[in-house]
Amino acid sequence: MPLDSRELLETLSMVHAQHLDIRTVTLGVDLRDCADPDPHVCARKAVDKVRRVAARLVPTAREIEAEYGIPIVNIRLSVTPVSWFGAACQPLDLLPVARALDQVAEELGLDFLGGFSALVEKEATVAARHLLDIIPDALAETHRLCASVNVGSTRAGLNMDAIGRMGRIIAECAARSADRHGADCARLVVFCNAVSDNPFMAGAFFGTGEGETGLSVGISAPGAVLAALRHLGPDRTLLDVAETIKRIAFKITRAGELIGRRVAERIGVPFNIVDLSLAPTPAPGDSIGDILEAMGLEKAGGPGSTAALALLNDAVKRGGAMATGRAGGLSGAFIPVCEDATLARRAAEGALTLEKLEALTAVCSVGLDMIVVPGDTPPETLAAIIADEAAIGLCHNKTTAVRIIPAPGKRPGERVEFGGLLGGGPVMAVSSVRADGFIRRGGRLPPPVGALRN
Amino acid sequence: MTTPRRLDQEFADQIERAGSPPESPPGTRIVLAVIGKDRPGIMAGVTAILAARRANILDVTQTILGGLFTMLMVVDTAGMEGSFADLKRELEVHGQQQALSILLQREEIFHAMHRL
Repeated sequence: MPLDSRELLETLSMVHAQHLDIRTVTLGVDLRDCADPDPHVCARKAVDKVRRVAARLVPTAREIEAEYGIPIVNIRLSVTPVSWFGAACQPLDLLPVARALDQVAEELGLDFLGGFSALVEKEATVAARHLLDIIPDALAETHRLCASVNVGSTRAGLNMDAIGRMGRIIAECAARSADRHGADCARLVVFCNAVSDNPFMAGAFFGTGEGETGLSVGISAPGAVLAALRHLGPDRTLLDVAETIKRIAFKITRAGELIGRRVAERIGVPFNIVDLSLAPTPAPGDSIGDILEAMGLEKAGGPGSTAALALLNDAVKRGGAMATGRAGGLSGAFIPVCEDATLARRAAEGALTLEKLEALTAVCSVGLDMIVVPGDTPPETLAAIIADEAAIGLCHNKTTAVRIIPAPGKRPGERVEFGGLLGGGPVMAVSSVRADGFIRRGGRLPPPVGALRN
Repeated sequence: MTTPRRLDQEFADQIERAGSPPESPPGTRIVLAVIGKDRPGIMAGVTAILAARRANILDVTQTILGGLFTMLMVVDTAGMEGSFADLKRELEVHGQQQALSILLQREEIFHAMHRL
């Protein structure tokens, strides 16, 4: 059936007025064949392989963007966790690999490169422990490199020693980038139930079983959902709201998959997954907070927010799963406070608190994301916040994550700016009640009995 | 009771053809949107550029929405001279000179979003 002009205009206005865009095109590259006893040789092999596979990624994505008229905001690379392919290095020094990956990302015009990662949900290997040790150095010396650490899983439980360490590592990363309000922490994510095909930063890595290469996309269209809900009006029931979101999610997922497939074809790599995400940007109107408020809440973060977000998250998945057989990654609505102008404003007003954000993450994708807290928040408290968030993932068999920035010298209510996609936001208040004794115990928090599913 | 009369075979074939996808390969069709303050000659200017490059117009809708000239066109670029990027550049320059918004995108994206 030919397209009618209403359909043509709908797509045009979704792109040109409502910020429909591809948030990220992320090429995954397996680097396990780059292992070498010499850290510098290992780094060179990794760079050679990345250059070979990804040389045409940025120009090709820009070509497709021009031809299909859908903006691609970020172009990224995810690689095998460095603690895996770097484990053979003697002496064990993964800094040269970190620097080399950052340089090749810059050379190829990539926005970010993820995979300076370790998976330590049960125990850490020697290489993983080393990687954790040098995260502050690696982030301080690079601009595009992203680090992630998986500290728990529903199968393994929570590695509380690793969680305690992550509290200290985050505090150190903040101190090392004090002149930029602790911005290095924006490139560090702590996961429970990390996934190996996530195209989003800072937590992307290319895990085992993903093949040699694979290109994934993450979509971003809160603006299009918002426009549809505003058009729907305030008197329709929540079932109508869910139906409207489902339809939009279908369309944006199809657009995302098409763009991803075309980029993959042209650079000659397999297409991997579409992340059924709803990622906000700091642009006005491109906000998850606005969607919650369009559903009838006075302010995002108030009572009703968890229910509204649960509806949104499920409707996005229903529409998206109908649109593609390649759903993967994190798939769900994101609530990164600094990257969402309305959430940031509500946090500044006190309508959205850290505790409410924690509740929200039980029903949406990922977790406490891009949250700025006072620079003097004790490392044990940072660790306890991570443990709480990881426990939600642990017990609900879902991915949760913490990307928290203790901004040095900043007090609650002050505002910090990171710029670009990272946006900016208020410093949120953290409870002064201490958890030091709990974190100091260390050891393992056992998995829920429900994890024994066989 | 009478059974419904079968459609004339030729008419039935026509309907079937109309319902099947267009014949040009999907990757070669583009959607062109032209929006601007209404005045004579807008369509002539744009179609002259397409004709010069031997791009074939398959479908066109044009209307005035609140004083704004709004034209949507589906164009087949299979036999076109020059690349998509060349056409886009030329139309964008034309749009700047004539104070028109000219957007062009591969039609595939519209099909992906609006058709199962």
